[in-house]
Amino acid sequence: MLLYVLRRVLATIPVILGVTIVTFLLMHLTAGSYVPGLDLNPYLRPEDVARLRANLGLDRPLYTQYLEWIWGISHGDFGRSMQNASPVIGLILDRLPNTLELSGTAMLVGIALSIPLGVTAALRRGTRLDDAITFVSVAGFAVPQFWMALILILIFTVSFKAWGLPWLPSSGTVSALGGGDLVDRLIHLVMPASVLSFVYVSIWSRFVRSSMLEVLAQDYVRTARAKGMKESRVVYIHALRNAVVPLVTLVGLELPGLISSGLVVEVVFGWPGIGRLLYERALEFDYTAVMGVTTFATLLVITGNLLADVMYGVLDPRIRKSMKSR
Amino acid sequence: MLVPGPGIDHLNDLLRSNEPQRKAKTHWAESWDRLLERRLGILAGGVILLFSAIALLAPILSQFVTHYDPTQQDLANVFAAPGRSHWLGTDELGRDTLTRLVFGARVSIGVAGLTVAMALTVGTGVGLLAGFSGGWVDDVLMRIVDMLLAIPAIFLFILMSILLRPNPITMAGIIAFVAWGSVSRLVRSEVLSVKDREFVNATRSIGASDLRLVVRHILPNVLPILLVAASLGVGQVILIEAALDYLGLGIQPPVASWGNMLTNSQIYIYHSFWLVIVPGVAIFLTVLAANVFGNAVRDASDPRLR
Amino acid sequence: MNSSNSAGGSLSRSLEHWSRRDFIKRAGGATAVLAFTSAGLEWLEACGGQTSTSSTGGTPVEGGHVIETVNNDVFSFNPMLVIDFTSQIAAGLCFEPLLTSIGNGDQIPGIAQDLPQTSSDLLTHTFRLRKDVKWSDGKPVTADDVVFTYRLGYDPAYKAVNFPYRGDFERYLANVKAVDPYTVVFQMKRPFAPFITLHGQYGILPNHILGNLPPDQINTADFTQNGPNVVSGVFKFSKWDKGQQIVFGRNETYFRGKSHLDSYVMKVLPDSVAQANQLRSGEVDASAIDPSLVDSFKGSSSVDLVDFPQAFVIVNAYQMDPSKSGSKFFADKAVRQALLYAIDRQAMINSLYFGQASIATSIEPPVSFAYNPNAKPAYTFDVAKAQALLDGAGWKMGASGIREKNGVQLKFELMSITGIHVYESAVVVIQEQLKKIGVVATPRLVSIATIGNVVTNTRDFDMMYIGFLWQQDPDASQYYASTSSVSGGKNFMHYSNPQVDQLLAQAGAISDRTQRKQLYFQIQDMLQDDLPTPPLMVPKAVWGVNKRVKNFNLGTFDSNQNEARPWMKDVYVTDGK
Repeated sequence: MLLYVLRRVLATIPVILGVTIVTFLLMHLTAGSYVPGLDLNPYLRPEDVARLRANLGLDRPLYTQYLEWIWGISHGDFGRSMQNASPVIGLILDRLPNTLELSGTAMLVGIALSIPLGVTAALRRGTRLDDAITFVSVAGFAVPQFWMALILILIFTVSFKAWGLPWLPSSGTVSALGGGDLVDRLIHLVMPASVLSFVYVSIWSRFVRSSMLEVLAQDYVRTARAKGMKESRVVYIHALRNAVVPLVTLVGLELPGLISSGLVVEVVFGWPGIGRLLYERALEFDYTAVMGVTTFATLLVITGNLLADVMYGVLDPRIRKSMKSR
Repeated sequence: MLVPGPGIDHLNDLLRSNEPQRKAKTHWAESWDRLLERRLGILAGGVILLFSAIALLAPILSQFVTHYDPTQQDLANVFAAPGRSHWLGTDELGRDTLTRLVFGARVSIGVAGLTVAMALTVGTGVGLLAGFSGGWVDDVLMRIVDMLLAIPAIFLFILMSILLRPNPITMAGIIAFVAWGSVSRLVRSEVLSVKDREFVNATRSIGASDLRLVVRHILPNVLPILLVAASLGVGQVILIEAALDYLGLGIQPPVASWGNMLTNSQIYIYHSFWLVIVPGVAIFLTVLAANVFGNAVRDASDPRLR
Repeated sequence: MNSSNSAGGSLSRSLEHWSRRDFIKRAGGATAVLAFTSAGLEWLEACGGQTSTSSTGGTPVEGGHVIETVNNDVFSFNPMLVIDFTSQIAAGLCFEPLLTSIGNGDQIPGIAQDLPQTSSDLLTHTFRLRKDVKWSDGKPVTADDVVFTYRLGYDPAYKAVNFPYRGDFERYLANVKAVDPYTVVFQMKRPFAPFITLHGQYGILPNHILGNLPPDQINTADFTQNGPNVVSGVFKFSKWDKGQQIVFGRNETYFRGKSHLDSYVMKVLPDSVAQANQLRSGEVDASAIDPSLVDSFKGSSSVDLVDFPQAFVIVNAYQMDPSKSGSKFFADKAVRQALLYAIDRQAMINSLYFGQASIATSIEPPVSFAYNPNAKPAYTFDVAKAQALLDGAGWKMGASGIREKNGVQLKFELMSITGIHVYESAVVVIQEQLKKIGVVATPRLVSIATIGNVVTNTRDFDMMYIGFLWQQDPDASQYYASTSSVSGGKNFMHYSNPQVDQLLAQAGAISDRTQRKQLYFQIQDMLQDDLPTPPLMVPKAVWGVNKRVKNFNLGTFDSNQNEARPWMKDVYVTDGK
């Protein structure tokens, strides 16, 4: 067992190294042209540019820069932003809670909505309600997120305000002045989390539906019914419990992607999260920040997958056996 | 799913390894029958075909139906409301929205189709190779896939779009580059589960070749999965392309794609809202159809349901 | 670095205003930073910039806040480190400089009592400081603070500090010394009249807080990286929600007088759509807006439209380096001129800028004191003339509708910046217009960083559509003097005209404005004729300011400069909230 875990951990090392090399090279292909501050200022003389690049360590050979960076990563030092020498890990940790808050809430909403929707659709299989639920969940997934966001902002921020109704803020996690409390945070969460949850609801509700259908067809359910158990008990106590278990697996599989799945929503709603951080830094060619954030996110994904694999291995010997063939 | 978003692929890996083997041919035929029964699925499939046809015929349509070029500007007639001379109005440079929509279909659907084709081809190839070879080949290939799938997809898209100038072909390449990984895993686990079967060893011992194995046993099981993945994938890629356009990293103007038409018109929503509605609806309908069709195929081919 | 010093008004600064989300913000263009050449006191005179403000006057109401949008989060509060506009505002609000500017380009004293006294040999500048400026912790702002701040730029001990203009300092500045607690003397190595104008506007940092910090910790000092807890400017730093907003509070001991506002917020919103929506919903009080939205804000019950001219000219830049392939088209003046005649600039203004711009008739902006309104030749929209010029130059219309000469087609790439909507649309419009005269200009949109690299280093382009942001001084040497075409210089067109060189040098060496004006008139005529960078349009800056905000005095040069905004203390909100 331990050997299995060890093997899995060791297998991730080449992956991590590979990822860091890929990210490093990707950014370097563009960073060769990086001039601090994107400065086209004629008063930034060539010697100033050279000096600033040297200060940032950009003039050293690639492999030196890479090795130094990797050494830093192994010590938890994700480098310093090229724009203001701010530690990248600080940038990440500042924003990580915001991303977790948004994506986590979206997932919770996703779960909370997809279970009733999926169960209802399963119970009313073949009826128009089933079709309607399917349609709504599938439709939600067919709308570009930024478009949905824009429409929501136009309605719930601009229009509601104009009509004198209570309105929702269109950006940020907290109000600038006088905010910061839980209610303020929740109000800011409503729209972004709703938009982000659509994807989850769409997929998971369909999954719950098919899972529920499968469970309802099982022998033990028929037995329970035959024994005269109340239908609602059969459905809601026994069947539901078993139908929902695979959903847990699905949700678990989504967890590693939590960091990046909300990127577009973060950008649209001005939500200061990890996704938006990466996007903005990438545009500004702050490549140490980009490499740091990407590596961090990747490490989270790898760790998450590793934990999931180990857990399955623990829970189900068959899977352990089949995993061995990898 | 094509792109490593919701982790169905991983789950499928696990589920597949526990599934009983099905008899290939009759199942395939049976699935096809079931598919035809689902009218919604057929309708969705039809919509996709229709839009694809429109996309393919774009130049003809622009010449004979709309009579405008997608790049033809008319600075005296900007932001025209939908009317007789311009059925869907004009944009900020006086270009005909309908024509651009039609050419945008070409780009959006074309990119999606190309991406899916590339991802499926490469993914299937790698999956077969890894599954059959086993040993270090399998290990190396799967490590590469792990690597690819560990980096958050959207991060990779952003980085690569900044690096490469995104035209429709490179855009398809970028997305396919990320997507083939999960396809290969799917295919590989299918190969593995077949390899495990007793009768396979028996068949092999009487000299049946790997190719026969692939054709008769693996492909028939994999095909529905691939078809589902393709259909859902088309929808996903269209959305990804639109998202990248929103981030300013997608197809660059003046080439029209639904995504960049939608993004660029946001600022005009207060006075020319149809410019925002039209490409949005186009995207919505296409992705919806792709999703419905994909779901229909999946439901039809999955013996556990109905 | 403090904008004013032209440096600020640099390509960089304005360029980095942009995020990928297209928008026309404060400048929206590359800037041509011009050397300040006026010596001594010349720059005192108003140079024609205008101020346009939200309504002025009325009885101030105490209290309340104003929220302004900015395009990126602050990078640092250290005036000696920052180049981007947002950080410069933040630094300027916290740290008062020796001298500062206001919207119309006037320079006024900051912590200096007056403009400096300059020796006749231009080697010494003496500042007398006010005695009533205090840090918010009670200590007085003295000459030691000034000396410390400037040492960060030239003292070898502080070499690790990422001050961007050390090159200039090392070349011109010998030292900065405190003669007494309220007198500072700048000793120059060689005379350089523009020095004070360029470098006299950095916010002054507190010596008693940062003076003892090891030099290699200055770049990352918590005091300037995370918000200063001691300030001398109009506002105090209050809180920073990273990535979202920076909140400032009133500095009760500000020497110009307490601000009416209790607090002031810089909200980070790089997206022009979001900016407009938030103006509408009242979530922000002031924001630059895209010209396309002007109509939708007209008649708004909550938002006033404020516009003012910008010292900003959009040009096409031609490749004129004989070693680059693009120059085979543009070496010929007839071609350069023809391509300008073929462009319908008014139509572009109407459709791209919704009328919020004017046709540029010279490379100098109209607000400059040296602007030549009649620079010749004057280029009208004349397609026939364009075609005649091209025919005359040997570029004859080929069978495919593309002009040819000696087997070469008149076909090239038109480069510009991606992510900026007006630029993206503009190059497409130009492409269409040139197509009509048989010229193929294929748009090539690249990122700002790439443009920066092309301009500074590689010069791999054929024709570029870009904007020049100007400062108060009209000097154009950095862009048009042949000496500036070396790598790192900004004459990326590789333009060379000995007569222009001579006139530029002359105009740079004297301080008399009238004389300079004459010289610049001649320079403009020459540049109009040679046309290395045909000037196209001068866009106006348009802001939306909530009606409740009064005295928000943005002006032409103010919006390009991150000055300490001396008018900020007079801003008030009618509802006091």
